[in-house]
Amino acid sequence: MERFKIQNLTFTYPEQEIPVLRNVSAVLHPGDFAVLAGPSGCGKSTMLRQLKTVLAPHGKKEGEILFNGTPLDQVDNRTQSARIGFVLQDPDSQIVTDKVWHELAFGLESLGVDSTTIRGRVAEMASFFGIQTWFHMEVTQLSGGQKQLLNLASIMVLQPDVLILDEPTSQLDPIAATDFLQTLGRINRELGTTILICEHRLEDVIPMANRLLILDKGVLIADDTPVGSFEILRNLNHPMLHSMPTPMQIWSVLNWDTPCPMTVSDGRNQLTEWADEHALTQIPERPAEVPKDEPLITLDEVWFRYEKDTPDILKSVSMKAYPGELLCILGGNGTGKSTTLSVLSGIRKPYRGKFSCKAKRVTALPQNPQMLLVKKNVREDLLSVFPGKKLHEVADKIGEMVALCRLEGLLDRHPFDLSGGEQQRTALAKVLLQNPEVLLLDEPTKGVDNDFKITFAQILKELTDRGVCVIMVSHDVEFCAQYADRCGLFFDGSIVTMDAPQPFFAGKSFYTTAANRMARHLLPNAVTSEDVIVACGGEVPKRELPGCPEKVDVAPPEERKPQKLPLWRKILGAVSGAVFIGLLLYTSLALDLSALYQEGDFIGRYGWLYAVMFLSFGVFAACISRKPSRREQRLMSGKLSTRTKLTILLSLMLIPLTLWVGLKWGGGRKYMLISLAIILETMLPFFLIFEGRKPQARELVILSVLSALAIGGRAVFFAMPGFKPVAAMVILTGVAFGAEAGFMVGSMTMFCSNVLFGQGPWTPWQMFAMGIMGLLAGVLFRKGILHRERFSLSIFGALVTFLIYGGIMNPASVLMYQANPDWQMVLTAYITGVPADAIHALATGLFLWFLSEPMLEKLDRVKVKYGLIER
Amino acid sequence: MNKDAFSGFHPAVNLAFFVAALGMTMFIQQPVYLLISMISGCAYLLYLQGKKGFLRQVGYLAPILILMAIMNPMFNHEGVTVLWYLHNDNPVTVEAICFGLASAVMMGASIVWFNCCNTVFTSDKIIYLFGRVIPALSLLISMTLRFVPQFKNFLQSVLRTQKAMHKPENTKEKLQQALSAFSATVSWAMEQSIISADSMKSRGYGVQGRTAFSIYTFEKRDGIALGILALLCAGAAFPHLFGQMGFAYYPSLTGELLGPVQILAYLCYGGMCNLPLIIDVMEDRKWNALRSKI
Repeated sequence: MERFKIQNLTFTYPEQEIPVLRNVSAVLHPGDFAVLAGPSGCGKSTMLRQLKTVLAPHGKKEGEILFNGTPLDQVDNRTQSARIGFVLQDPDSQIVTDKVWHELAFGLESLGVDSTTIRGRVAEMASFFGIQTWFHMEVTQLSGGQKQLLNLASIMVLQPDVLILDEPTSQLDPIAATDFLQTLGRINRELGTTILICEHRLEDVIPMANRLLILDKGVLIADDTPVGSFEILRNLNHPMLHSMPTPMQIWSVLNWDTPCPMTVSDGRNQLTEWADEHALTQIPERPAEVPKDEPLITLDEVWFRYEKDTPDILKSVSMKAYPGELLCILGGNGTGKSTTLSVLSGIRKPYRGKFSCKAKRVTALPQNPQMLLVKKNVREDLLSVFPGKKLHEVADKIGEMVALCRLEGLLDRHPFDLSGGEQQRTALAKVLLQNPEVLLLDEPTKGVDNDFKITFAQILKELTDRGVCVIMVSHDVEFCAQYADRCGLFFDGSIVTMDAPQPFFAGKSFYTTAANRMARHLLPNAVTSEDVIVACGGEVPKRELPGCPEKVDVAPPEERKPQKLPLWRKILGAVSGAVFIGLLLYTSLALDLSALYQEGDFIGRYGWLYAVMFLSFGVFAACISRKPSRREQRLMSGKLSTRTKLTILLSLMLIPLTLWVGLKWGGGRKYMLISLAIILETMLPFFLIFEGRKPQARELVILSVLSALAIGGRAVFFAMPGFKPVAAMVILTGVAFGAEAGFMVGSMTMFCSNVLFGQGPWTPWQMFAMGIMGLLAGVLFRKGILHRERFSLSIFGALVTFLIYGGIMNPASVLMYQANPDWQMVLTAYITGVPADAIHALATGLFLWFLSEPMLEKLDRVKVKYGLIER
Repeated sequence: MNKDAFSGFHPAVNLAFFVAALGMTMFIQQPVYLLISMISGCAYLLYLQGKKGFLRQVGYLAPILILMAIMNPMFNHEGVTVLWYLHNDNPVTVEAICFGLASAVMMGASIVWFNCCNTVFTSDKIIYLFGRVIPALSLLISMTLRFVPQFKNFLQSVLRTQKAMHKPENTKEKLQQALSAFSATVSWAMEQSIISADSMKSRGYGVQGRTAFSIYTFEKRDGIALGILALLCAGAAFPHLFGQMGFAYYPSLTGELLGPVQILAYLCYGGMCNLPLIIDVMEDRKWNALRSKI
């Protein structure tokens, strides 16, 4: 029986006219190794995702998919999870748990398999994949290749019939990628698992496959053996021909009548046979032209290491880079290529040797373009390069760059909705807007398809023509051979050779192009497939490329002006703000604490000071806050769910009971015991109800991501003590996802951050305090008291941080360490805590001031994506 | 890394020990108990962390503890044995000094025990023990711990990239860069979360009847250790429950310290607090014996 039978599948995304897939019919037999190829945006991912119900995107579907003879919709989730394995593109984000062994067991746990069986299956798969040595490691310690192998293994433990892989190697370096694909071949051969893979690296995968499916604009144009499908492409003269393995391309252009060679060694044999009967034209040598200009960048015997007692990363690196050239640096992983880039960009300083840079502006494009994408659309992202400038002032520059990087039509899209290549171009435009003289690129062609590489090469050419020096670190041998002006090989911390591409690659046997490996014994100077074709007397097919428009008009976005505050409110706000700050300084700096113990009536003497302080803050807040917009009013439904109400009620009911029991039987440290019990009891209903309703995957992920962001965010502000984004994140969660989510993120953040930084008796109190802040934000927002704009959010944030977090943690410190606390001690704790609490409150307020709007936008976006709310 | 043999016991044994040690330290104010707890806690931490780690983790405690011990008699004037009078005519008493010392030792001991606990009771043990009772929460913890280093790495590379593009000149620019790096991380993390959720769903998360797998097995030695722990614990706790160990600081220091029941209880408590250390030393001996045979 067929594993998969797809019949007349047509799929249309919501709110779109044109279907992404049109009348696709295909059959997958047991034991097949099928490759799905096609230009980017042709619907490959959409098609693969149709084959598993939980991953299938929303939209209109026609036609039928049968899995083992049953319609896929009728196959239950349990069977689908076990029988249909799915590996996604990004190695990192597919991993869910923190330990390798746990990740391997995750799928089996979900299916409810007992421990003994899990142990056996995990052991077996770990041995098959060679994972034993890193079985106990944390997932963060793994390399990219190991991570992707782990993803594959953690699906193979489920013993699936079919394995579907969506570009699994696009984020891996060539050696890891080959390794991964070899493992895949082994799974297919030895375990008989059916494989359907969508892949850019056709050179590696086609020799293993028995089927090649080609999808173009949603239509399946070829479905045959690799050679058969190749014939179809050839007859159509399809652009996909250029993505096929080099031997196949050469064979096709030269029209040999031998069977089509799929591997380099087949190609080499055929070329040898052909050369016996025909004469070859030798390719002339193309040595490097010695540039006459002054070098822009000179490295002279540069040494670098990260720490004093770590090994050297760079060992006597010498190189020169000239204006207007594309310089490519090749080499294996961990040889120091990326470190060289960071030395060139000035981030790292060498400890020996000379680094001189004549260029004024050196910019680097990071390996992951997403690092540069911050705003909600491409236009704003480009504009953010010019801080404080309006769009019309820099429209010319941006328009020019949009044209150069082919971003027209993408300006209003969200950067994260773009494809990998488009993101790469957006990031490039952003970097180029700084008008660099030297551009540093780190693996820019990783994970993008051939079409994009050609466009990218065109952009680089235009840049070098303008005199920009481009230095690129890459694994992509074919790209460098084709487009570089000079290439260097990096090995063991220094540049071993540096030459023009032809002499550079002609001398190597492993680090060279497929064309060279195929023809080197006859044509030592042939480096690209064009070289081989010319040598054999063939004609290189011309590719038509879309031209680059001169300039693009960047239409200004519609601007919404906030209404102005009336003058009296401004004045009153300024006065009350000044009073507040003055009093705060006075109370925290000038007040004599010992007065607290010498004169009994402290509150009577100074209480009014604190009262005025808080009052002035309230007036300040009222003066500068604004009315919510209509859109927010819609979100504030004014109702709390029954569940939330019940949870809060339950928490409140337990408190008096505990007080009574504790006071009666408390013993020596009753205050601590009672307060601890109350805190645990208040948190318990939240946790139990969360547990009881069995949260879905997306909810768990969102909560853990938000907690992790709050914790991880501390790293960025480590230079500023007291500045932590935790409270701000918790409040924003409460506003965006509701009171319960706010509580969960607040308490889990504190718990997990204490796992990392050390638990203590303070843990429950911190969990409680942060949780309550998130809860309050959620409740007040729902009730319409707290508004979704930065004035009220930042004031609310500062206030609750001061009053609630400080208000809980200060007495907690007394309760924790004093057996017989009295009110004076609590009061002292409050007053001594004022300066620290004020800094914490100020930081929270500042965070919310700057971050609340972009952050809420981002959270809303993810809500829409998850289908939590409709827009 | 696996120098500590006690860490190799089943997580339930680890948990039981730390609950007992921390609970008794935090709720029993008897002076000899506090001393026993403090000394054994320090000894274990010293074994776990070595001299350097011990000083780093505990070094900051000493001044705080001394301050606490001094503060109490200044503010607290209960007690009958007056030593001298402060300038505002409030007495300084022996009882208040002792109580201050006891509080300081209690705080110090509980922090020392928490430090030991952080070293021995790692996150996977937490997740394992609570995985059965609260599966969703423990998965939540596991996922959070998995995301933190990932986000931190991303955040730091964004910061480096931004610094390479534009070196911040003042605090304002520094803060701006930090904020925009954080903002970029949030966008990216949100996007990643969708893939993570897909990956979970794809592996059957949400299907009824999830189980919890672990690499821990409960061996015979775990049972024995748990039994011994329970016995010692009972020996140390029962005299308290039956009022044999009552000790009052105010108004005067009263309580039997060196009776036969008390000494027996001290032995039990000492044995309990030092259980991990005893296991470690026995294990070390065994290895030395094995090695000398070869």
